[in-house]
Amino acid sequence: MKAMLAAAAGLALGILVSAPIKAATAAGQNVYVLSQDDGVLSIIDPNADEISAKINIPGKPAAFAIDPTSHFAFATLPDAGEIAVVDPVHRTAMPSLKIGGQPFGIATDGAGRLFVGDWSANRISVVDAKTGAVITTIAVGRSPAHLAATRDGSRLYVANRESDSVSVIDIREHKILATMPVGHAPFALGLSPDEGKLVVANAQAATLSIVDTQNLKVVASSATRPMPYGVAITADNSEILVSNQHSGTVSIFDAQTHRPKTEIKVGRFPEGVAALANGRKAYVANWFSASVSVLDLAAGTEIKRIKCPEGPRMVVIGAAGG
Amino acid sequence: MATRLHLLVILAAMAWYTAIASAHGPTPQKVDEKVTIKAPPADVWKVVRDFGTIGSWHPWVTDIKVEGSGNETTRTLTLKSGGILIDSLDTVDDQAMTIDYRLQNEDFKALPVSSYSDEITVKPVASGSEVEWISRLYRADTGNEPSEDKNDEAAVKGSSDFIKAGLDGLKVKLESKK
Repeated sequence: MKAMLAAAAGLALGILVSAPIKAATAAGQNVYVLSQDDGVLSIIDPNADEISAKINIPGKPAAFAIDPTSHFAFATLPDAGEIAVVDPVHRTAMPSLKIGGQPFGIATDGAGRLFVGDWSANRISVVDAKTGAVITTIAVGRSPAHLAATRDGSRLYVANRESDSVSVIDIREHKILATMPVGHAPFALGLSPDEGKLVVANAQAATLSIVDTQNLKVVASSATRPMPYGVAITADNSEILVSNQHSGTVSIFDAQTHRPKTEIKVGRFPEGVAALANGRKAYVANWFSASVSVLDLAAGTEIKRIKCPEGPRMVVIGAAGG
Repeated sequence: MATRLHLLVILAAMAWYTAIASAHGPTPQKVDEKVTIKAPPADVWKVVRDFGTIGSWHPWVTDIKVEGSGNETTRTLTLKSGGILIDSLDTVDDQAMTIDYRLQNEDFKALPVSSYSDEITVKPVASGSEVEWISRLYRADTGNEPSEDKNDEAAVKGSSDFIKAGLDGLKVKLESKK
């Protein structure tokens, strides 16, 4: 029955999204910022630290992922039950994928599949990125928030906000490998560049849970400021960046000792955070202030605040295209 | 085609049915209210920073119970509507003159919200102080088909009214002092 429904949805809705994909030049990186209230994906050129393009998205997108192969961006529209599809090279929104439910967190395997959490149905849908067909669903904990997938598309981590746990899924076999208890209200996830470590930001507990992804065990826990809502690990694996919504700061932790090194004041109610691959700069979405803070990680300072459309919640570093 | 349409209708109905409320939701809302008070910032901050005494200046608060201390403090406010708000303190920053706290319960009789994180800041201005009270909140029904009294608009209106009444009460208390 489920397969039939998915197939019907795919047949009816999927044909519109298979446009030719022009590969982006991998020469540089861009910073992508998603603003929920205004429904805009902004592109920041990290050389100028200014917004170079704004792409309108129909609806109120909550979270997004960029497919490393096609360079398309996929943004969840929880209120509409859809996934917005953005072509960042041609800088246009394509017709959305209508998957139903209340999609929130999203990740991609880089090989044509999307993983989408449903906030109120407590499950992950595996979705065909071209047709929008739901291939299968996997039950997880309550209110799945952010997701993180390994680059080879073999494993998916899910922060179950209302269950205080992280689900670890063999996403090829569609099998739960482990459900690990973490702190109260896990929301954001950060995977280290070598994928050996997963950092979980527990919003209500104001702590980080550090997970060894080999043994699937929480090996350390660190206190941060109230309401951590974003986490990232630098490309050189040396630092963990955590945005603290309630103190308006980003805390920087040593990635080996998990001890706090410094704290940088940013805008109000910061949420998503991401670091450039060269490790020198990081970008933070200040939800309340409608701005993006640019951080100099070597100096431990905020060097610029870029005004952006209302409601920025997530930042992703992607290849510079078009 | 008729069958396919039929299946889509079922699919849509299923999606609607599963979108029931949870403690939190996907689209946060913003409230930002300010008031200017003819009193020195230090005096205003002394009142605002005292988490357990909001009942002395917020006209909607009829009773208050404080438990714990430091960052483990919670306050239980009874409003004149009979509704209850339980807030837990996060930060009191005397340098920045900012206090942060968040809602721990859900009581739509008090406010049509499922959660909020609030921050009150006191700033010096020429005529005395400016108090800014900001809130990040989620509507009462975080599912995809909220009724009119549980949607985003109702949540923002209810919270704005509560915050405005509080700021007005704070102004009255501080300006009528002496």
